[in-house]
Amino acid sequence: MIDALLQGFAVAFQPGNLMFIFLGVLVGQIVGALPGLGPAAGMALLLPLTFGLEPVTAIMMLAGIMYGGQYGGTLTSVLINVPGEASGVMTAMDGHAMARKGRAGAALSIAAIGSFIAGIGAVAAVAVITPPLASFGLKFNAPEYFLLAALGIIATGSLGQAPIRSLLAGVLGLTIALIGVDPLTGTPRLNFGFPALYQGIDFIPVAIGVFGIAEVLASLERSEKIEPIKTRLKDMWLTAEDWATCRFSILRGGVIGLFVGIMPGAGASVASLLSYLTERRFSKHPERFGNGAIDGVAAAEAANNSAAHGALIPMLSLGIPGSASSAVLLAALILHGIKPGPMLMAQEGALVWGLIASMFLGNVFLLILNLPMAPLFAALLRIPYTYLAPGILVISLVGAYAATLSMGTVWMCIAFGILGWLMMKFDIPRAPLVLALVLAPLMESSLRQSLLLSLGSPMIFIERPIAAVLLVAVLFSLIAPIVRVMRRRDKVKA
Amino acid sequence: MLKLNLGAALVLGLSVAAASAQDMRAPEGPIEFTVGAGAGGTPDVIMRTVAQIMNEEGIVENPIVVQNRSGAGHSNAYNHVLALPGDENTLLTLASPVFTTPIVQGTPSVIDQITPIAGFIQTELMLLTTPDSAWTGLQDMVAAATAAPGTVRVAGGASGGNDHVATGLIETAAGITLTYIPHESGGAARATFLGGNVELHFATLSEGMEQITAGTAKPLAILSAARRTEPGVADIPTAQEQGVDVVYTQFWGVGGPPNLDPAVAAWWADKFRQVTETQRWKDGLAANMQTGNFYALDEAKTYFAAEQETFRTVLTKIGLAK
Amino acid sequence: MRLLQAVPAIFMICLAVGVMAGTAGLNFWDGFTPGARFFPAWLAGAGVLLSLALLLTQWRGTDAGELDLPDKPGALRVLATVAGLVVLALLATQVGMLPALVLFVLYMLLGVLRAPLWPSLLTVLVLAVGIEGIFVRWLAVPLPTATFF
Repeated sequence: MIDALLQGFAVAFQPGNLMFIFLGVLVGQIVGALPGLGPAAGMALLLPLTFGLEPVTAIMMLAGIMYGGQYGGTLTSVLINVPGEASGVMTAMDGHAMARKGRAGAALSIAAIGSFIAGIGAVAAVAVITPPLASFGLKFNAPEYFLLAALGIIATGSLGQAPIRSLLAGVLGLTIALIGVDPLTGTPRLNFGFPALYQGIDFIPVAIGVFGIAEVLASLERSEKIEPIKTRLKDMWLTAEDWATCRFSILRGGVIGLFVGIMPGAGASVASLLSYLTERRFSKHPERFGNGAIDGVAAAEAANNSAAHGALIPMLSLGIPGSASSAVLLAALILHGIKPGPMLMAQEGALVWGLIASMFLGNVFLLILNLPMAPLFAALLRIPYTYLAPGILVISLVGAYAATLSMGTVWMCIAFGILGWLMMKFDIPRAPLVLALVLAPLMESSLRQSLLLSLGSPMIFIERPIAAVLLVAVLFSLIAPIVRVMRRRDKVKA
Repeated sequence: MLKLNLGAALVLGLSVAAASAQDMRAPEGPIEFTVGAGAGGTPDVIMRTVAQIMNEEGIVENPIVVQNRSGAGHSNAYNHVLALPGDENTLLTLASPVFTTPIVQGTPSVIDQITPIAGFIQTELMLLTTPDSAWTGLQDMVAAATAAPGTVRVAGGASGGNDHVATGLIETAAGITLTYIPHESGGAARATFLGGNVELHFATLSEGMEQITAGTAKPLAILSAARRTEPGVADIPTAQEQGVDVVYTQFWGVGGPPNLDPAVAAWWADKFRQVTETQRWKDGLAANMQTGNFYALDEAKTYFAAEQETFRTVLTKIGLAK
Repeated sequence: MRLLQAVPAIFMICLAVGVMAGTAGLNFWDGFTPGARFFPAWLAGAGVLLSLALLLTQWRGTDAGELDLPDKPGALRVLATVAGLVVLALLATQVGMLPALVLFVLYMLLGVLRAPLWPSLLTVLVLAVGIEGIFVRWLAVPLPTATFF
């Protein structure tokens, strides 16, 4: 295996390949930073350009776009509160709060470092233990996904000051997700005969509207003179204290991300949510979360990057794409005349190991690219907001259009922008809405798939060992807050 | 408008001169292949391959862009093309959702409105079971499903999609009831099958052979009219041989917007035929164990109409048609 | 003031009623699995319960949320921006996306935000070149173009 990896590095270190890996991560960085366009869309748009290349080189470059996009997505999440992908929602929560306090540079730096450490760790896992990990991923199926999604949605209740308000936002998100067709049988539901609604409401216009556009509207409203966010140079860098806070968050986030990433049904968004919640659960200062907790940013970014890499494990060993972007990578393999599937590692060893080696290098490139650039990007916020605001609106709408090529998406962005602004005015937190929207189809279809698998018996949630553990966690997260409230009452009485 | 009529008149004049040859006229400017699947889906891969061969082998000089207008069971894509009557620079990729989505949603048939150009690639399917299953052939499965109706489970793609239709055909032919478990994608369905959660799963021949070679699946039948000839696959009997009268293949094709000039349609049909005659295309078919029966224009129209009837019958039977 | 506070809860209750009405024709249970109406019904129930709970806490004064209403000029600016966005979306399919964006940015900077002329023109230039360069030229995204040429 070491031999194979060394050979992989020999391939990756060829000057031509080195250049294309760099090009890939650079493109990923840029595409990821455009709101609306995530790495998957970027890879699809640039796929035709790789046709002239050797298959290995093309795959290395496309994979570079894939994980480079994870680094790039951080930029918009932190700077303008627009998560380009579902996995960026958690980063936006604390990252943008940090940016408002003038600490955008620190948020971007820790995101880059966290992504780097978790990315390298995940690549090492891909290299060393792909086959056993893949079969572990297969142990997760509909019942486990349902419980994971339920866990996530219940937990959104804790993402704000008042649980009732957060849960209400979550219910609103779930309700929005009902629109379109029933995810399992395709029965039209709540689309009121609008053909545009048949496809349901996608994450991208909601995130762009509810976070990005609403944020701009609220800032425009505040006062005649819009103050730029103060960014002092000394706040740009990470301090020793920051690092001490984040070390273990990065490790935990990376491990959680890897395991969620290898499940073919759950993705980087579930990974970043779970690791963020874990951090807050074990933090000594849970009250800082949501108000610019640097360890929240670190954990979420570490988790989504390692999940992005982990999604390659089912793809390489089973031919099952674990995420939208690994599906595009799979298509690229086919277009370059390589047959993906369980025999890939045996038949195309040179390509697989070259790819793995290239991911080590690509992550190093991204760290080198991002660390010095973080303060520079953060300095973008020194542009007077008056000029920034129309720019954010315009680029968000173009990005939304580019993602689907439909004006319907643009209209949805505007509508959700208004909704998001109203939610801010009425003090309803926005993150639970967006997270619930992402988790809803997973939750609904996996519940129904579970009951089809068990031919109607609910015992399936107890009989499967992993499901049983998750069920306990779900019950605990439902009961714990009630117990806490009762105890508080008792104390008041006593 | 004037220019267009003039062109048509010109072509008409020429055709009178060369009575036997079909009128052909090349479209001008860049071409969009509209694909209703996301990047990486089979229709996407097929159209990207076609575009690549057309441009690189000099069959078509116009730059071609494959545009994924995915979502809503391909209806984003076909609605886009239906809204461009007469447009010469856009082609719609025909995959089964283009046929089934209107049936399921109760909207007017798409295939009756567009201009059929060609059907040019088909994939046969095989039915797989888990490697440790006691079943050795299709009849064992039929016996199990007859003894306990509904207990044999199939993991497949979206509701009303190819796997669902194939399941429906088998249920009808064998007189059994299966439990169909739809998934958001073919990959997700495969994960469910490989995790050992269900008994049955449909795969294309090349995917299926990969699984069989890796020891993660066992074949029950192929759903073709005749056995394949490749070593390994040749051992797998057809469903018909085993007394279940089902023949079902997945197919893909292209069509133009409504009222496309017949001369342009004929030109495209000719270009697609040229693609299917290249060595690169044939190598691709062989590698993926696909078949390349070619139907153009009126033939394609008849072929698509027949397929639409199959879909309508099966979807009505499984209770999805509106 | 009290009534305004209750808007989110009332909205959610109306939404729940709407969801129940909108899914009236669908199955609650389908064979041995939940049907297309199962989730909508549970959600509507949860929405109503949570809304009532919110109303209760607001009435008892233990609710932590607070209204953050804009002043008049603020509200006007938001309204003007939203109107601008709507016009932008309408114009995009008529005059093309890029010209519509340029008009929108000019309207925002010069009309709504009263920014000085030259920096505004520079902003428009940077944005237009950036969008044309990245989205249209590089990523080959077919942005809507003018229909009347």
